[in-house]
Amino acid sequence: MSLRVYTTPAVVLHRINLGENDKILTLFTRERGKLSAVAKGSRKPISKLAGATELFTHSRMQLAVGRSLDVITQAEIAHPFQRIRGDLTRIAYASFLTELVERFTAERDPHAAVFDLLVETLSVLERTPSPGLVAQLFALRLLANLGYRPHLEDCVTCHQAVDAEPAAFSPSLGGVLCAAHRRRHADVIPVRLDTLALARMLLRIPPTDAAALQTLAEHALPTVCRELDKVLRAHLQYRLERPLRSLDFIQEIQAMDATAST
Amino acid sequence: MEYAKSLARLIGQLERLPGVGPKSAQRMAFWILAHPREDAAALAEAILEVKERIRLCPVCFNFTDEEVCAIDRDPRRDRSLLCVVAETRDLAAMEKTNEFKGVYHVLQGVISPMDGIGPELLKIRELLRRLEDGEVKEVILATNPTIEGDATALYLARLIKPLGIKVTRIAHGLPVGGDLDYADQATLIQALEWRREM
Ligand SMILES: [Zn+2]
Ligand SMILES: [Zn+2]
Repeated sequence: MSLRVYTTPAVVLHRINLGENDKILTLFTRERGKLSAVAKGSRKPISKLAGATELFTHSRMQLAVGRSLDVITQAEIAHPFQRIRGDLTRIAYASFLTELVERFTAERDPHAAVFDLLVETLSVLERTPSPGLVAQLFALRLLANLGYRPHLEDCVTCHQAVDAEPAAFSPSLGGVLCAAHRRRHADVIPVRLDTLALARMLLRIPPTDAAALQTLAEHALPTVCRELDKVLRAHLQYRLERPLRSLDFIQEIQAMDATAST
Repeated sequence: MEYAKSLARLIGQLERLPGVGPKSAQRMAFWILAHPREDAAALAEAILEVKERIRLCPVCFNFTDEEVCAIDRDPRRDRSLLCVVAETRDLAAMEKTNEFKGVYHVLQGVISPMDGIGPELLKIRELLRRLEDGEVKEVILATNPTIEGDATALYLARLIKPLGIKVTRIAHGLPVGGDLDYADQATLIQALEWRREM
């Protein structure tokens, strides 16, 4: 019997209602990777599981192996990330983080480093003054962890130095191209050398290094940040079959912010 | 054992209903089979009538079988107080309290970035149009205390506040009759945040 119950740290990536009282959660667990589990009775407000089944919540969960889906038997919240839910922009970026994890990991394929990265980044997202930059950092580090790191140092094909402005990024090849190779590829996006430098910098600093992030946020030009968004989006999208859904909402919020500040 | 074709078809249709598994679908099908023809006809007619007669109220987007819903026709309702809910069943829950004397607006959903449900899919443009004539003095946001409910409330507050209309959100925290030491961390943080002076 004890073999059929296990305990693991978990973050809620997604959830759908099941019947009157239950939910099916998509969890990202530290020990067993992404998996679906049933939280019985968790839609009732008096349920002890209700809080732990909320999106983004980091809990220590006890699950029982079920016939088709595992069943959550106990959950203790480690971090509810309360400050994310009080802010529309932070909710939008947290949705982007969890959607990336959901889309880029396979069922029952554990990635402890990605789990730790997710929990750390959600925690940073609660307070950071630059949530957009934190989301970019997360996306780049997630890609690096899962073997999809974009090649930003030199030409992805011939390793020649890339130093002419603007450089060219190919989403299909997942990297920058030299002048000779860019002519052979139709899908290239022009990209400033500063944008590549920002991306390389983000790959080097951990999400918890608030001071380094602050410095980057102060020095990175808005045009450079927007361009990195565009390059990252193309790179991510090329590696996924369906479009990332949270990106539309992020764009909507950015448009709202833009009209509010003018 | 395999069921006769028409029986299997009925079970199959019933199984598509929310919350109905294969076992319950079989039980329902046998109940229908065991009862007189009139019972089956009444059920079938009720289903068809709902599909034919029920539509969305053009004012509040509640379900109605009249031109405008009963709440919006009622002259005693306070039109300066507008309660925004996600679904018709939330409206029904609020009505059961017999406390709220204002009017409603049903969004027909909540913002859910992960599911690709953006504001454009909800009745938000219609809500803003209702606020144009200045009759509404307070908008009460009564969405669930979930991430989607929070996102929807925050989004609406950002749109409505600049219009100079008071925007409030229903409180969340401990359930009535609940035990403090049973409440989880998330609930207690909410309860603290939404505290008020006595
Ligand atoms: Zn080259
Ligand atoms: Zn109405």
